[in-house]
Amino acid sequence: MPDPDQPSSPSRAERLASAWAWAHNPAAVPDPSRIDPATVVAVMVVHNAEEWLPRQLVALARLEPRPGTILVVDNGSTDGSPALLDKALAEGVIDDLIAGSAAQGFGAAVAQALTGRDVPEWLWLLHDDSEPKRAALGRLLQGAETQDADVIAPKLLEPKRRNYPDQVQEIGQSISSRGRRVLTVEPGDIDQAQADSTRTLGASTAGLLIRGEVWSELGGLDPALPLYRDGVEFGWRANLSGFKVITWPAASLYHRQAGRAAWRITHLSDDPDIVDRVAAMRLVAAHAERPGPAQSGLVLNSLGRSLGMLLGKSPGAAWGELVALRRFLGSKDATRDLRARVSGLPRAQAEQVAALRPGRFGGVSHALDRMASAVAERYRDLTTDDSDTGIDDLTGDDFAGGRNTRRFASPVVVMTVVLIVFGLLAGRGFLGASVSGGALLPAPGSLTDAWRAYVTPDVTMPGTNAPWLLLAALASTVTLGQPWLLVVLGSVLAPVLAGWAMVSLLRRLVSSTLIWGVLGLVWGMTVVAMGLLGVGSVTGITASIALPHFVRSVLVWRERPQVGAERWRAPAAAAGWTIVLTAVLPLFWVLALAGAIVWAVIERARIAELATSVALSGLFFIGWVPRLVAHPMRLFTGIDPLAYPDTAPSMAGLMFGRINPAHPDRWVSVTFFGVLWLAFAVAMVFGVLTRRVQAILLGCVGLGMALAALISRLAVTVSGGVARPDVSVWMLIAFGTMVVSIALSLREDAETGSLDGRLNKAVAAGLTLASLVTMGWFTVFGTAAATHDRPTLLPSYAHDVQRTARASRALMIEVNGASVRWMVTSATQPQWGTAERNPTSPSPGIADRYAGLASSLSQGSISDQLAADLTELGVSHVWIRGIDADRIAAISNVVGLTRAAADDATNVWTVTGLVSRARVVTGEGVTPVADGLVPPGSGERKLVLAEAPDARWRATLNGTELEPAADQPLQTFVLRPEPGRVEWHLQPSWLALTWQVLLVAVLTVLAAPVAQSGAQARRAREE
Amino acid sequence: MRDKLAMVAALLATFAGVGLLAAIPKMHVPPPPVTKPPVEKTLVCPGGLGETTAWGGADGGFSSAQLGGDITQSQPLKGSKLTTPLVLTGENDLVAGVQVRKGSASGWSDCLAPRTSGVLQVINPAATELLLINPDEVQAIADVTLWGEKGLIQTPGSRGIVLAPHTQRVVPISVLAGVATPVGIGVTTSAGRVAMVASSWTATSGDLAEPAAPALTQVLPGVAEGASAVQIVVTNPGTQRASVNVTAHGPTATYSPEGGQKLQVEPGSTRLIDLTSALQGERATLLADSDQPIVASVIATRGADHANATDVAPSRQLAAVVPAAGVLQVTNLADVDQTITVEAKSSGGGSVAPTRQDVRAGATWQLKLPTTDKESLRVTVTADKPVVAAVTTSAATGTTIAPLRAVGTDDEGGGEIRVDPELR
Repeated sequence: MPDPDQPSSPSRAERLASAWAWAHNPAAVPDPSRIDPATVVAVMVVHNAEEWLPRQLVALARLEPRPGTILVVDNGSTDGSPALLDKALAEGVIDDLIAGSAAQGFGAAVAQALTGRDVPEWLWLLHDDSEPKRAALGRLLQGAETQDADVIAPKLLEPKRRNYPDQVQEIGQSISSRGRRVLTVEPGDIDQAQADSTRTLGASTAGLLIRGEVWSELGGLDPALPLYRDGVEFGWRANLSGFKVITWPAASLYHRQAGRAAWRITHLSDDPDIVDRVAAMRLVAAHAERPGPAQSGLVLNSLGRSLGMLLGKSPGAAWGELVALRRFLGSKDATRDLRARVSGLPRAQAEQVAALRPGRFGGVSHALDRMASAVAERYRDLTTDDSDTGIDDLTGDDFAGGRNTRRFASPVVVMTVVLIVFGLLAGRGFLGASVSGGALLPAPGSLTDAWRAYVTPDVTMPGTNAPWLLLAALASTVTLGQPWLLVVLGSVLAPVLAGWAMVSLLRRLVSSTLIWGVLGLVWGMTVVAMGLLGVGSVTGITASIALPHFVRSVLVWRERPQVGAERWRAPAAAAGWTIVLTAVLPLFWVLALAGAIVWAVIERARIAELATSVALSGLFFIGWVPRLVAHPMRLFTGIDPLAYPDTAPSMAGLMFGRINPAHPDRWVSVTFFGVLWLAFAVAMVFGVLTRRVQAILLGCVGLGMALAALISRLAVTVSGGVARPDVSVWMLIAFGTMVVSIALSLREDAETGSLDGRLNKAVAAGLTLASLVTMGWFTVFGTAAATHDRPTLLPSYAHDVQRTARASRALMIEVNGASVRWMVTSATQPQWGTAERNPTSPSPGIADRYAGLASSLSQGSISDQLAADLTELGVSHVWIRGIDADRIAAISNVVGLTRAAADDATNVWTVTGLVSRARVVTGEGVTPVADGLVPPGSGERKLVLAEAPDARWRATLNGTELEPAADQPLQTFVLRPEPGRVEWHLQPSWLALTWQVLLVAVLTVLAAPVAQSGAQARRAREE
Repeated sequence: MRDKLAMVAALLATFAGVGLLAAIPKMHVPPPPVTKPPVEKTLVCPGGLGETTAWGGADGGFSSAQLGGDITQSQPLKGSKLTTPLVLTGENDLVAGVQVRKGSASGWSDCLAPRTSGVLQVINPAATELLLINPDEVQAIADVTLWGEKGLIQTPGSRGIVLAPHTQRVVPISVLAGVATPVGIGVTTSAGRVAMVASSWTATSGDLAEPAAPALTQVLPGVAEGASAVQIVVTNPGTQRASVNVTAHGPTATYSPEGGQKLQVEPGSTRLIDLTSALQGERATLLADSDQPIVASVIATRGADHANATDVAPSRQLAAVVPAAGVLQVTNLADVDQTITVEAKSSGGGSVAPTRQDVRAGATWQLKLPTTDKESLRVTVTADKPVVAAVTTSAATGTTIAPLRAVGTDDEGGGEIRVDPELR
């Protein structure tokens, strides 16, 4: 029992109250300054302020201490402001009311108020929307005294909101070399008295306290800046003149910024943003040391800003920027006058003043700050339970909070760490520069090769190459220009990327980070348990990441009807994800089209958005259509279909995700997918989902499984071969729907309690345990079943030749009993995209010749023409493994082949004569183009490529194009007699690439947030 | 509760639906056919072994050249006298052989594909010469090994036999192995390849022995009806004892001849087994199955002369060009009865109407071929499943077995050939 005589220790509540006393006692009167407040003349300029003037006048009436005199200039108000002011004058709130003109600016009005009066000792400038706190003046004077300052800028706060903390608007300001307003605080920060007094370039004139002598010496505010930036300009001049300009955050005012938010339209400001920009440009140009370059920079910057606004879907703001530029350039006299006044000032303080402005890279620094802030905000979103279904959120209040629980270790963060660590451990086989195998072909050797793989069409095949190659090239550009790194990162990070994608979707549906984390983990492990990583299914991996995002964009589209440019964001995002998914599975676009038609029938108001979304995504593939028309079954397959393993899963295989050879042991599959099915069944049977939702979810699961079952039965003929479709996308649709169903069911339990809590926990625990078991299996045995780091089997001397100007090929054959595997390789084959057609050659005729040679060589039945045939096809090396001595001897007996043993079972024959992809053929013989150079010749001679004829082939000799020869079995050009360098290439699909880049740009613009003018943004905050 | 049951039913229906769809048979579309280039075959017909006549031809034509000579387009061989080896080049349907006569004995050998190794078997090494022929452009170096009844026979000078391009060498086995018991002659090349044949002659009989590769099964066709003696020679070139079982495909069924079971052949040795009493003069094709790779041949005696046959490859399409009348024996090696078709076409243009005959599983059927005069007869056998066949002759001029050889393209290589992008 506490002793009542002893002072008791403060309770926790008391300690908290003490700590936050400053916040709850904002009007505490400061210690009296030795500067007499009576020496202060306050000048307030009023113009059409009826709406907010009463609060302003009340604030003035409550000032403690009051200034000696309060002068008010009414700049020709046409609303109820004069009446309010008359009343205030009558009640003694203000001391004098002066009639001004609507045509004069703030500075001119202040000058008018002081006309005929002695220069006051201190001048306090007030706006009609700058509500000073009770002690504002006293604190400003305290600052003036203690800091011996000449110009003191108070802290400006956003308008007061009931039950919300104060937010800082500005504590002094500066200006960048391009006119950007540079603040010392982030607008919107909670006011926690965190700022200290500092030197500043200038500030808003709202609440600015100025020593009378300084005002007088500098001639007041400059008439060249009648409305905005005048306080900065004045402070700049004051600094240059050696006066001390400081911020004093202890003094504060609530500043409504009625002018800049365009709450009022004045004679001087038809558009506050334009007027502000003109003022900013004029200020920078006038104060610049080198006016010419400064003005050029301002013009370029203004044009850039205008373009940015246009891309930000704000044509009005873009036009406003151009208008501001025109006005700035059309008012050179005003700029010149201001510059003349500035040039008369002493420059002794120029260096100190320069330090008050942002540096050369201030803009970059500002952008990085914003990016970091956005990342931090995204992280906060992921790690915080933040209900998005509260009434505040539904009413769009930016300050809505809702339930907000921050955990020490967020489940999403735990999921992220676990999946990344798992990816590194289990994906150890992916760590290498030559990861390939299964359905994954080797990455191109360089970024140039990656882009070339897309833009250079396949010989004899119509249309462009598969557009997924474009996405791969783009992604490779991001991964430091290293395609192999994209493969490594994509493989190792696939589980966590998929997990994040699912979390992103679930955030739209449920509010529990625990559910996000558990089901994100389940989804990440689904990708692994289906063997998508092990078999190198880029189609499946991409779909596992893109599908949740696609569904999320559709949900956003459906849930948040927008108006204006904002309405195109979600359709554009959906179109973007449709492009990604269609690139890996063309049939997806057909499904998207069907879905859009159904939606349009149900909701006719969406027709324009749906048509735009589907059309934009479809137009992206317009260049590919000719090839799809030629090989329509490609619609059903994933990428590089002729590399995908020939597997058709059974019913159990489908149910338990065993759809390719890289699946884990049977018990692992049964454990993981069995628990998933069980959880889904529990969600459907015991969940509180509506019948309609149940039907939709069950329908999606059934449809996905049924399509997977049906399509897995197919063997489709695509360009140059027969392929088994990759059904992983359909399986992912089914499994993904199950995950979403479980999430919805768990959410319902958390909020309504209608589902048994223990069952709920059991589901979550079972899924987590199944994921961990699967994870353990893959950690031990690795995910790289078929796909791993595979260096070429060719000896280096043969491999190196392929990478020279000869660009030769190698015919590789492996005989294993009665089974023969074979392939034709080159520096760019196999690689991404070469299994979109016959992997040996896109030309059926040449592929057939290769097949014949492979067949003959594997049997050891050799033609005397073998060396000539190989030379004609550009094959410099023949690699054979597993044939007997008789066949080795038979091949070695061919004139023109030289054998070397690569190992006990492997032999490599080199075709003699420097075989090259190009040959010069004359009547006297054939000369390979070994180094890209052709010797001089006479008579008729031809350049023959070891390629099928195609009208898109181009060849040059010393840069001059060569004439193609008609009706030749191989691509042939008529070669002129002079010597020189020959080059040849297939005409790239630049047109298609340009078209796709334009479409992506359009989609990006549509999907990006709408750029707002400053006035719009401020109004939005107020509203 | 009702809703829950309905949902359970819906889930089960989903499972069932997917199960039904997954039960649809997997569609199989054969890959596009590979247009194989013509299989080029080189055969070497040994010459100068006595009165040597060559018989052969191909539907698609072929070319020929004397060893080291110029290549010319050739007409069908119908008893052409050979004093030097003849090199034939043609497609897969090229078949040819030589018949050698010395006195009242005859021998038959197919024209031989050059190879890097093979085992030949002779029962009278003291009267045997091994002929090695190098038809290629590169030098060949051959080693000869002899396996007798008691194991490896030391043969000084039998290693490193150099054959310049387009040359032949005779290796006198009689000198290397002066024994009267069967030997297996192993030939391997350390460089190049050679065609090889062993020629054995006595006053009353003679044979040409062709090489075979060691394998677990040896198929030996051509035991003619009325053979007075039937023996098989088994050589075990390995290092472990081989246990051999012989199966006979007789006129009506398959059976195990007495004395042909669990025959033990020591490593590196050659053994002669007499099956005369077990076969009782019935026509047959013999199969020698072993637990170790072996080489076997059959020696069938009719009259004073005997004939031999080594391992042949079963095929669905067989052919041989033979000189004169004989008896065609076809053995159905499949597990089921099947109908075979026999065609015989004379080089003079005449032909016999195709004969279709049902042959029981495992049985050997025979057909007497028409007599030709100064013309060759191309005999072709086709069947749905692999068979073996041989033409046997027995006359005053001697006894021969001429096996039919595979000429079907689908039998060559046999297995799947597929593009594999992982091979790089």
